[in-house]
Amino acid sequence: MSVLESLPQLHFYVFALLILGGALGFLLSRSFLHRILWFELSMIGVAATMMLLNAMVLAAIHFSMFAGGIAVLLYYANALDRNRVKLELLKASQWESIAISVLVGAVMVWAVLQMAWEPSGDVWQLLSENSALKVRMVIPKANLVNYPITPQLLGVSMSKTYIIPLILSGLLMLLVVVGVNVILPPKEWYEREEEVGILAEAEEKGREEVEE
Amino acid sequence: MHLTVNHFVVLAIVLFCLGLYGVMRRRDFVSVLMSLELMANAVLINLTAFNRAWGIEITKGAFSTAFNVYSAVGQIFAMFAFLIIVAETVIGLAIFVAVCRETGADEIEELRELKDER
Repeated sequence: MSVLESLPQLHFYVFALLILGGALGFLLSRSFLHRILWFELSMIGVAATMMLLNAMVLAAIHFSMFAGGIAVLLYYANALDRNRVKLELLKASQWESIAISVLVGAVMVWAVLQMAWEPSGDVWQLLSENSALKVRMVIPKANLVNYPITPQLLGVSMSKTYIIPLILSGLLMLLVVVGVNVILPPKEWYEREEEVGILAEAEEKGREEVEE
Repeated sequence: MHLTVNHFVVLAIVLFCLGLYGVMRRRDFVSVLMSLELMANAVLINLTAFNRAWGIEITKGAFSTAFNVYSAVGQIFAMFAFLIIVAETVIGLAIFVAVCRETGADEIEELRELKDER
């Protein structure tokens, strides 16, 4: 019996409805405030699905970041956009967009149906027996059922096995902070630049007058 | 009928396609960014579902001789993917705010002209 088979089906369908309903509402609504609210609903659905999948830490982070912080940030960013900057990068009509999306989805579904997700028993046995190197051993599937994924387990894994990606992601966050400061200098910077420009212009003018 | 990995994968595919549609159809920057996030969330659902199905492994700890380190690989990958999504959103919004600061009401036409010159 697969691990996923023990999960309650009703919960999955309710959460799937939340996710897809939220995404559809986001795409169909015209008001930006409504769009944000639908988007939030979809994000809450994703967080709930993560909880269903025993990923409590991820769900908590997802809920507080996406359904909380980022949604508010997006709303304020939209309020800034008084000129309604239009992108028009992809000038696809409605039917073209639907056709492309459905085509991409169909290809993906076909690929998923072709995939043999469950490895055969031999592979599991081979992986378990091949533990001489003690590097990588898959726990037999039977032991996986209800194995607790605690924050402690995640923390230990990240600080021991995935320490390099953890350092790299910290570096990425640092780069983001520096990048945002470079892209968006404080308003005084613009004013100072303007002042410097005016002063330089006046100096140039004065020099020209003296030369004359 | 029991839940399988396919249920979650199909859910993720539908969400991904809705996001793709949003990227193609939406014209305002913030909505395109939100559509991209829908697509990224589809990836997060997949990673978490894979972790639940086959996830926990005993692996070797980095910088140590310990081999019996349990790790929830899918969730950790999802966490790193999540960080990248957040970084992408923040940088995207910063660029957007910079564009909004630089362009006044009169200059929006110039922005369109720049696009045409491309």
